[in-house]
Amino acid sequence: VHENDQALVDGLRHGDAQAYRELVRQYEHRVFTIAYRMLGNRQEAEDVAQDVFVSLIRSIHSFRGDSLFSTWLFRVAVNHVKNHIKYLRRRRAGMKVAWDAHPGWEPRAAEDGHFPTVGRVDRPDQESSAREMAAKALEALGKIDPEFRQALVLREIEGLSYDQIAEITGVPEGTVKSRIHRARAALHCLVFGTELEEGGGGDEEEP
Amino acid sequence: MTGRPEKDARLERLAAQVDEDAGVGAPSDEADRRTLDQLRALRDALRAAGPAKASAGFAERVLERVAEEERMVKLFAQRARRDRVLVWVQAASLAALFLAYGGLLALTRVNHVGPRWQEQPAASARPDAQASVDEPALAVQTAGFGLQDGPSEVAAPESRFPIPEPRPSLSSLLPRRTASG
Repeated sequence: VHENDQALVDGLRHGDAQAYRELVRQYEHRVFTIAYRMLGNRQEAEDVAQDVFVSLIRSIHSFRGDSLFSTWLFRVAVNHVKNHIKYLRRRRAGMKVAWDAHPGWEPRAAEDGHFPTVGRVDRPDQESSAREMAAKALEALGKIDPEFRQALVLREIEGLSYDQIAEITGVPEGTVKSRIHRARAALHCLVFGTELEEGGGGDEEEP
Repeated sequence: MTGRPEKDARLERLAAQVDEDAGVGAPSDEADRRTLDQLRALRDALRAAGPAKASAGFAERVLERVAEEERMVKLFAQRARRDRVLVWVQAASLAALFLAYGGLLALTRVNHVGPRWQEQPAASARPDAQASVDEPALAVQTAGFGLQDGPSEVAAPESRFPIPEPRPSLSSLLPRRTASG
């Protein structure tokens, strides 16, 4: 994939329209996902994702090849999203971005009619519970701080490593880890409530 | 988050364990184990439901937009070129206008000032010419008083200045002496 990316990037640098078309097709969903999960609004996300790909033509010469193309592209996408959030905040004078009513039901779930879950699900009630959990998680995602949300989207949804996220967001890896842990904790509070069960608080291993 | 620092710290510590494989370093406490399971369930839900698909035809719309922007860029470049040509034409017209005005002005001056030059040939234009004009005039003046012989021989310059008639010399006014007297 990386070699293929490099060939496409070289093609784009030389003005090859076919290479550009291929790069857009290859990354359209991932870039859109970042924008959508950060903004929570499909229309806004599509506009931002389009901006990212249009700016790609102008900014491809600044890609030095020190990192993976995908990492570089996601950094461009994240910066566009951050700028768009700032723009929306200014325009709406502090109003929150309108999140889609059911952001959880847009993803790849609808393709075969089954909601994808990790592992094999044999019972319909388990699938239903997974759907419910996903809907709650995605709804809660829109309520946490954008910086935490960004880290969580890149980690859990895009499946990137901590160092890749650090490279994309431009913050130290330790900060990235801390943000992700706090984001998970915040999400837990929003989905399961703030009242934690009384626990021992120990992290000892089981005997 | 929970509003209680110790619980927040506990939750964050458990959140840090989400990436570890289930069973490895699992907390001994039942409540912690349950919380960790919930955190992992959330992670799995995000992994499963998070990836979204752009609407059909997204790539085509991007390409259309790029083509549209290219058209706009070309259009603006054409317009800019046309504007540049227009500016050059305007500048050239203005320059031609100034030249024409200058030419006309020069012609008018030549027509108006020409006769005056003929009347006063180079008197004021050249200092040496001034000298050459003044010299005969002085000579004529002195000749009038009969002080010198020379000046009478000096021909009057061929100028248009009116030259005064020489006055009679003083000697001619004195009674003439005769040889007897």
